[in-house]
Amino acid sequence: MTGEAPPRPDATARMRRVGPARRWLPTIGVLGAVIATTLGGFIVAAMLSAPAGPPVSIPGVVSVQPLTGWEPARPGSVGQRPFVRVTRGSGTLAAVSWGPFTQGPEQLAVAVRDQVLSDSFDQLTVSEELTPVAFDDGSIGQRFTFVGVDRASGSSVEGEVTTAVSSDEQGVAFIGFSSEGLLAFVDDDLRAMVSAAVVGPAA
Amino acid sequence: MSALGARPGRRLHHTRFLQPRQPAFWLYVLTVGLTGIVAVAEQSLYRNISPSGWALSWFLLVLYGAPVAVVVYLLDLYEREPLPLLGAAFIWGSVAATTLSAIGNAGWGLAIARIGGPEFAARWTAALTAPFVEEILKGCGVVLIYLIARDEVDDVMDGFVYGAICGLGFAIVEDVFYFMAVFGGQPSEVLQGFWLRVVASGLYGHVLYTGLVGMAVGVVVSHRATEPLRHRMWVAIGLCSLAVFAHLLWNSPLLAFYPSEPWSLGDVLSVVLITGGKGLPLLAFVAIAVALARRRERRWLRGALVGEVGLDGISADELHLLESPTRRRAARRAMRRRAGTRAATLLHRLQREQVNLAMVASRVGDAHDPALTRQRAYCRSLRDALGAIPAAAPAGSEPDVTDG
Repeated sequence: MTGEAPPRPDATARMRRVGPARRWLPTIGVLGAVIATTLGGFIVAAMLSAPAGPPVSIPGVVSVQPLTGWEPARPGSVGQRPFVRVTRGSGTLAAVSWGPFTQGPEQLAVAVRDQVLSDSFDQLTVSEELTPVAFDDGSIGQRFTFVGVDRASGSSVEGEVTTAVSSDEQGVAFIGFSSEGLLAFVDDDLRAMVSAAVVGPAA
Repeated sequence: MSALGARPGRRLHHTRFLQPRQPAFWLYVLTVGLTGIVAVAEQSLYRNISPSGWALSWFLLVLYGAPVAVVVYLLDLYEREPLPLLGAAFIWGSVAATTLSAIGNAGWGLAIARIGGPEFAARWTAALTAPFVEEILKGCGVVLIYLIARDEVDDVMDGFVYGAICGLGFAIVEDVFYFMAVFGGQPSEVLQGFWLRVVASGLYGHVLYTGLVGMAVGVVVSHRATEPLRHRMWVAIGLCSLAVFAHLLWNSPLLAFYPSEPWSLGDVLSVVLITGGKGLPLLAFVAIAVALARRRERRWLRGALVGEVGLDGISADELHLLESPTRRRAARRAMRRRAGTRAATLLHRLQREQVNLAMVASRVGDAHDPALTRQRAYCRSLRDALGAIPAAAPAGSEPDVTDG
């Protein structure tokens, strides 16, 4: 009992005293709706993304754990360099074993551009700067983005390359790409798989 | 002016926006403040990309937005909403809702990509995220405005006005984004974007969607005494669902019939037909809903004032004029011709205060309530002042004014 007189039956909002509960609860409700709408998608997306299936690997060099929705695809080689890959729709992540490499991930990025991308794509355009990337194990790689036209299929693709050099000086290039306009929808998965990849003797 | 009676002490329906005792006010300020930093940075980026394109974007969008805002403002026949609150609704739509929606759309887009894969996400993300994310976030702005100033949202039309203004703010800033970041940002590209998004589509978008959401808020918070909560909630859910569905349909790839670029003159014109086909049904629905809401307002006005006829506040002839905006305007024009601008202005004030009389009458529930007595006396003093002006006949005796 608060001792307050009850509101008149015909009273409008103006005439009713708005108590603390009626001031705070709806406001908290609005705040909850704003937070859930703004951030809920990231939480749901994170819940939908989990390691799925066995990792694909080149033993002793690199191992990639596919996330939900990604499937291992047939391994191959580019030049003399073997790769393993996982795909989802038009999204592909290839982990290329570059072999012994002593010059660090920056130079490896240049080599990938000149020796792999230039041979595979017409109208190749790459980002002007390299971006440092931290792997889950603490090692540092380098990343750049590219767009081009696949010489084999004639379709436009966009992607990003992440390079790493293991402690035993093995170079690895992660080449993630998809059809033009779709990279944004796989980029998050690509980066998550690259960050979690194991590079070096432990792979 | 000294001949007029003192205006009743407390202004009706002019609640201030600054309500530091309301938690909703602080949530509004905090959200707009934080998102405003991002919004300003974004506009600065666009300006750096192409100063001329950015300036042209804003110039064109002000040309579009100003008349839309005026039309929405004037739609509320009897009780124009306070400009500070309308400004707050606009700012929420243009600053907070746009910034938060960009984040929300990205997050839910990611979830859709994870569920359906990149190809599905590329086709459907815009249709499956934006309608829900954007309508909720814009609607939260309307709810906050209501929580800040509960007195001001007391009818369906009020909700529509706040919602539409919030949607207009959203549409303008979103259009700047599209002109600069999607169409390219150069003046010729801005003009192309303006044609597609404003000339061809400007009547159908966020103003209508959020207007419907605002109506839903108005339905829930008004007519509590006459309609049960369950009924009001169902109507509100229907209106919100329609807004989301219309938005979804607009963004749907199933209705993306736009010609491929480069466009010929015929293609440019066909875009207007295509967008009209997609948007006109909703526009028609909203027009009908607004007309019904106005009719409801008119019934409310008559119901509130019919008991006052013959007392000091209003005569039967004045009520007949007051019920029709067309008759009211015609009466003022006739008064201006006959007795000058001052008399017409005075008649305008009398009409406005008679609408306020209806509000007081509908709220106090007692014919002898002091507030009601004061308002009647105020109306009478205005009428007396009008009668004192040479050639200004009583407002109710306007000749041959037809209802439009």
